[in-house]
Amino acid sequence: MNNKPNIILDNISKSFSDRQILKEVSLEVHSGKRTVLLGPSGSGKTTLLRIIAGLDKPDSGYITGISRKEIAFMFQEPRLFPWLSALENIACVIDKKRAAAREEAAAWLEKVGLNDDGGKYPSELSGGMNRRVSLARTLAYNKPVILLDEPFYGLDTALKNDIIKLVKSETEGRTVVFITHDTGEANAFADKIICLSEVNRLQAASQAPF
Amino acid sequence: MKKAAGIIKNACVLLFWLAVWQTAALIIGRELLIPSPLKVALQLAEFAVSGEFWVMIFVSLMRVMGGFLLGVVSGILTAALAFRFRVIHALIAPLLTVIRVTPVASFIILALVWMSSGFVPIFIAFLIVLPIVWSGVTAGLESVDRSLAETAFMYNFTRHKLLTKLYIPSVMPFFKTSVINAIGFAWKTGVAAEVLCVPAFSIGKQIYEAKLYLETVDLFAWTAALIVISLIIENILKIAMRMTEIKY
Repeated sequence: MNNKPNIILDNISKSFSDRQILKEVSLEVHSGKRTVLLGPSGSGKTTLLRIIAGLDKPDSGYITGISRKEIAFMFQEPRLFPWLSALENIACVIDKKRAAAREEAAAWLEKVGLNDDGGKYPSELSGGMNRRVSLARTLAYNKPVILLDEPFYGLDTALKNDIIKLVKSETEGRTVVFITHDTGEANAFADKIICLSEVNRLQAASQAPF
Repeated sequence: MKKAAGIIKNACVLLFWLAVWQTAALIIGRELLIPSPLKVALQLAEFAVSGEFWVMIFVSLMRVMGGFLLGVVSGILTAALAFRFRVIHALIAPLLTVIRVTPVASFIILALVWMSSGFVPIFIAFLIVLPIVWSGVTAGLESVDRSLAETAFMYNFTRHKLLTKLYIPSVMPFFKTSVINAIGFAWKTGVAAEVLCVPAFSIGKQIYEAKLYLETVDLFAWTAALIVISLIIENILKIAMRMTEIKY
């Protein structure tokens, strides 16, 4: 039973320079469920996820039901430390003694199909492999709330299905917010889908028929 | 194979310049102005068998190394503090610029007024190394990838993890370059300080006396010794740096 409160975003607005990205966005993310924020590129998905993560402050509006320390965030880019091997990139976020952390990191690499690549540096891995390491690092961080920014982007179909299955099983009972522009991914993953264009008044207004 | 070719090439370059030197010595024909390479080599060999030569090299080296290490440590600390507190940066940056552009001879003379001659080379090496290391470390800290810093923040890195997984690896290439540059300058300016303030048991004092008594062969021999020591130190440092390098 998940006793965590729902994450509530109330009238969130955000602009960068003169460009408004989000206008009075209100939505509720149910605790222990997988919520997908769906929307086209430039619809403000990443901005909204960063606001939920506490990385950006909204110009106005409120968020309740979450604190930064309970979040694991997977960025759109892999953001791996180039001087650490794939294994070390995962191990460094695991809060255990070095040997135990490395053992757990190796298990995570196996789960994402990279068991033979633990000693390689990010520059020696393909973009898709780096994304899998980044995803493994996020899951290994073991937090009750997981925010994923386009986690399956760049993966081929067969691998994508395996990784979606893995993420679903590993995040069972945890709150997941996942953003994508791919409706197939959204349907395969979500308990609840929120179309950003429907909750972002800026886009809702621009889409309204004359 | 490649290594052997490199050694042969370097040997040929050395032989070429020795030939130029020998030709110049023959043309001028006055040992007082340019002694022959053979004469200098013999003088150097004569020095090398005396214990005093090694004592002087050791003491000079210790002085310069003392100032160098002090400069490296101070450079790292001040750069870290200046990066963390902008007000410290605002205070220190102009001071270090002044140190960098001021002729080293002015500092040597001033230092001679302020302290005993044995400490002057240490102080001068320190003064030369500090701004070089400070600039290197500052450039390294400013080059830290913001997206990686944000990632570290998101993963709640402890201070220790921030240092070992983010800041030190980011700064290391800049730090290494600055240290290799600094060691050469420290050695040159440290010995220059010795020449001007002639402390006991120093290479600088020997060079000063060689100049005073017009012993040009001695002057060349000491200079050759300085060059060899400088090359040895620089290469030891480069090897040490290479050993700590992470390939990625």
